[in-house]
Amino acid sequence: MNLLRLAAKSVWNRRLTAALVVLSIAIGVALLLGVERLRTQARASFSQTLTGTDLIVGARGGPVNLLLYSVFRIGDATNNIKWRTVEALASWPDVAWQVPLSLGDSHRGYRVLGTSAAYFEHYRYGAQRQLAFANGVAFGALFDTVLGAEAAARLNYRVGDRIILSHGAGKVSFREHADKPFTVVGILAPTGTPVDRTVHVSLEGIEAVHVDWVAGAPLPGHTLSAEQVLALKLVPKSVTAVLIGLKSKLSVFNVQRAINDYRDEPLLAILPGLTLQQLWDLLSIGEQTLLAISGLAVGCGLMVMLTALITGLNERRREMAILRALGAHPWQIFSMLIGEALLLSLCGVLAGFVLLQAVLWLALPVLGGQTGLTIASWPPSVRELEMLMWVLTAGVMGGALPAFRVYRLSLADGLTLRI
Amino acid sequence: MKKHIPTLACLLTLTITASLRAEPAHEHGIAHLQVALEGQALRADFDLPGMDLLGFEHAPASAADEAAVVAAGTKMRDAAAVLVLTPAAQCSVEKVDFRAEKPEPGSVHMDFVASYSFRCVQPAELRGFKTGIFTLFPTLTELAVESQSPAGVRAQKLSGGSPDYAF
Repeated sequence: MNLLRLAAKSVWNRRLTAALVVLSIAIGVALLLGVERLRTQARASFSQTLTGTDLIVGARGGPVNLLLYSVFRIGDATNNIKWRTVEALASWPDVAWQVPLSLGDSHRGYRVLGTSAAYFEHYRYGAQRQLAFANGVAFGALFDTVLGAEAAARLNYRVGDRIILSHGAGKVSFREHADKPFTVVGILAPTGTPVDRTVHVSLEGIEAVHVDWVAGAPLPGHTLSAEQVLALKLVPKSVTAVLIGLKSKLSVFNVQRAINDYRDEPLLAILPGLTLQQLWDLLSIGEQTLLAISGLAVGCGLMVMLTALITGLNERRREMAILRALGAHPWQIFSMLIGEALLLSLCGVLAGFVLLQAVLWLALPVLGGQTGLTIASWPPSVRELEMLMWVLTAGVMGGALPAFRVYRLSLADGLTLRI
Repeated sequence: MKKHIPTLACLLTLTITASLRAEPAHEHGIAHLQVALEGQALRADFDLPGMDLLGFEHAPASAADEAAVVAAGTKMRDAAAVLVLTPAAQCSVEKVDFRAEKPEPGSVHMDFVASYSFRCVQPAELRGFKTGIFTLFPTLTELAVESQSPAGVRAQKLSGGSPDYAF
């Protein structure tokens, strides 16, 4: 007799209970895999975002805060550093290149980054990959802008379009720099980093839209037209952060110390890789807790299965007795119940996997847009498959409990049934 | 009140200027090491609390104090005892520098800096190092290491029980 087929038929016979059991296992499995995937993919995505930069310099504060805000545009804004300082750093003998970053404005929900042309030359992501242009070129004129791939695609912009920047970072802003529109001159190829969601303009461009503003608002009776601004010599007053590349990696810690000890302004220099590691260390307790909780959810799912199997046994005393009377060995009954447990857990695991894929498929575009995270939903990692195997094993081992009960009782119990 | 405003402003500016340079973190028992590797060159810089090196942290005031500084210097200058690099990398010491760090004005803490330059014939073989600093200065309990190497940047805390660091 094909035991597994018998088990399948038996499960099918109680399909409503089976469906609920599968669902409860599936939810646990989806949670467990989801936490694991988010954890590992977030790490990978973060460490791939900025790879060629030796130091990030910003105003003194928390290193993690500086990294998150300047590179990932997450969290609270950090203080600015003076342009004078930026110029001074550029002349240090150990500094090979520097890229200033100025954040604060936005365009329809996308961050505007004021920077220099060096950004396109020195920014590296992934395996030391340089930014590439899908269309157009880097900005040259004052009112030129270069869009990240996603910003261009979502807002449906092409090279040559004119856009208006908003003051501040909100999605809807009442304060717009409408008198000074920017022209799209370039669109970057997709990178899978926050660069995709960034609107790049020159530092002078940022300065130009604010030149006739005082304290965050246009100064009445004192407006300059775009043409008038072009005639001005614009020098940025301050920037948010500076990316620095060094001539030799040997000097990285010395330069870091020198910047942290800088006399004229309180500065903070961080090594992006080390600060990310700090961040993961901070988060690891939370991650472990989440993993433990989702592990418990899987445990609950398996408990539900056990409960269903054990309560089912009472209804099936006669069935078992008949099987035994027809000549089934106790071990065959045992195997049949183990088979049922295996089948239920397997369905639960598969359903959980499918559930997770579906949730990711729906949620990733939203999540990516808000946090700058790039999370691949395929393929699953070896560790995920390992976790699934553990769930299956636990399911089968759990199934041994009701199976053993039936193994011991089936014949005598079923035949002496009193109704 | 009004005429005091310029004075107040001056005072405020002074306070702000004075606080621009924050004093570096200072914890007894904890030393810091930063290691950078590029090509054949390896640089290692220790930051050490005077308390653990000398048993006191005021500026040396007596002949005995001076002798303690010299003794600590002699220990730290023995690069092979402080850092044991992967033998296969064939690294040799080029330069050792040991000095007291100039204390911040008003600070009572005395810290020391020890810098080492190595040249390695086979840098690709360099997997990491073992530090003997916990044997040299038993009151040290932790060495916070940061490293920059072709393998990437890393940080790890070493202790007497686990003195090995891998890049």
